Amino acid sequence: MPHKADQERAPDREREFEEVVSRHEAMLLRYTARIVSDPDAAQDIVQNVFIKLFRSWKESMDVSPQLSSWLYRVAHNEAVDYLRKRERRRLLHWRHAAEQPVVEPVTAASRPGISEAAARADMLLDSLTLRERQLVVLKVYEEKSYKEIGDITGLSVGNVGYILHHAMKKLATWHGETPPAPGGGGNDGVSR
Amino acid sequence: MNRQEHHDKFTVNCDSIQEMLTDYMHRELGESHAMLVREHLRRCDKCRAAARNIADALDLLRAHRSEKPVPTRLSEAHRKRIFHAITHPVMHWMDTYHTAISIAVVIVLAAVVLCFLRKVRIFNLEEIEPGVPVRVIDRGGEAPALDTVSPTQEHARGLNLPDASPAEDKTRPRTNSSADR
Repeated sequence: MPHKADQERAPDREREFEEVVSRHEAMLLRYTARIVSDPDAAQDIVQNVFIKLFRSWKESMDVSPQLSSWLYRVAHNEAVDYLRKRERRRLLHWRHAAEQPVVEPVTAASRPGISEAAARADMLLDSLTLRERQLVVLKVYEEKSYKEIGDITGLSVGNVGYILHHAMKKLATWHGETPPAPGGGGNDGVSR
Repeated sequence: MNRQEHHDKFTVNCDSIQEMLTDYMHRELGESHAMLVREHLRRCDKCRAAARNIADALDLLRAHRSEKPVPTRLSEAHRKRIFHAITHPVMHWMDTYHTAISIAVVIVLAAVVLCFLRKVRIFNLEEIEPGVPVRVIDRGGEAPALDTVSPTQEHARGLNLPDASPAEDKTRPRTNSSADR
C-alpha cells in the first residue's frame, strides 16, 4: 500500500533532508545575509527556503549542482520579498518617522567587533543595486563562475560579465570616496 | 609581419581593455584575451591604475569575507520550525496565513448571523401596508360597500393622480353597471 510505504520511508526522508539542510545552510545564510544586510532576517528566509524545498521534494533528494542553483534562486526570491515588505513598512511609517527614533538597518557595520574595513565593505555593498549586489556576492563571496551565476540568476554569461563590470567600476570609484546612501541602490524595482 | 604591424595587432584601445579588466581579474577571460590585457597593462599606466582600483575593491570585499560576521548554522528555533512545518503542514499553513484566515472567519460569521436575524424577522425589511377602509360607495339602495384602498392609492386620488390600482380587465362584463358613475 502506497500510504504504508510512505510512512515507512518518512524517517529516511527526514534524515536525508536533515543532511541536505546541514550541507547547504551555511552558504544560504551567507548569501542571504549579504543580500538583505540582516543576519537575523537571513535565518527566517533560509528557514522558508528549506520548507519550500521539502514541499517540492519528489522522490529522492539528489544533492547536485542543480539543487544548489535551485536553493540560491529560491533564497534570492525570498530575500527580494523580504526587502519589498521592509520597504513597504518603511513607507507606511514615513509620516511618523519624525516621531520615532531612527532605526538603522541591522548590518555588520552596526554590530560590535566588526572592523572598519568590514564596515566599509558593507557600505559599498549596500550602495549597489540589488542585481549588482547579487552578482558580486555570488562571484566574490560564493566564488561561483560566470556560468554558475548564469544558471542561478537566469542571465546569460555575457550579461553577468557586463553587470559585474559596472558593479566593480562603481565599487572601485567609491572605494576612495564616500559611497551613496544605502537604499538608493538597494531596490532597483527589486527585480528578480 | 614587421614590428609596427605586430605592435598594432596587439594594441587595443584603453576603453576595450578596461571593459575586460573585471573579467580578467575574475579569471573569466580566454587565454588569448587575457594575454592581450596583460600586454596592455605592461605598457599603459592609466589602465594599470584602473586595474589597481578594482583589485583594491576586491581585496576589501575578500578581507570582509574572512571576518565571518554571519552565522553559518540555523538556530535551533528555526530548525524546529522547519521540522514542525514538515510534520504538521496544515498547522504551518494556518500559522503562516493566520491573519487572512481570521478575517475570513469573521466575515463568514457575520454573514451567518445576518442570515439568522433576517429569518427570525428581527429586521423587518418589507413593509406591509395595512388595508384601511377610506371610502363609502353608494350603489343605489344596496348596502354601501367599503372600497378598501391602500394609503398609497388614497394619496394618489387625493392628488388627482392616476389610480395606482391594477388595470381593470375591460373585456369582462361589470357586475354592477351603475357603480362608479
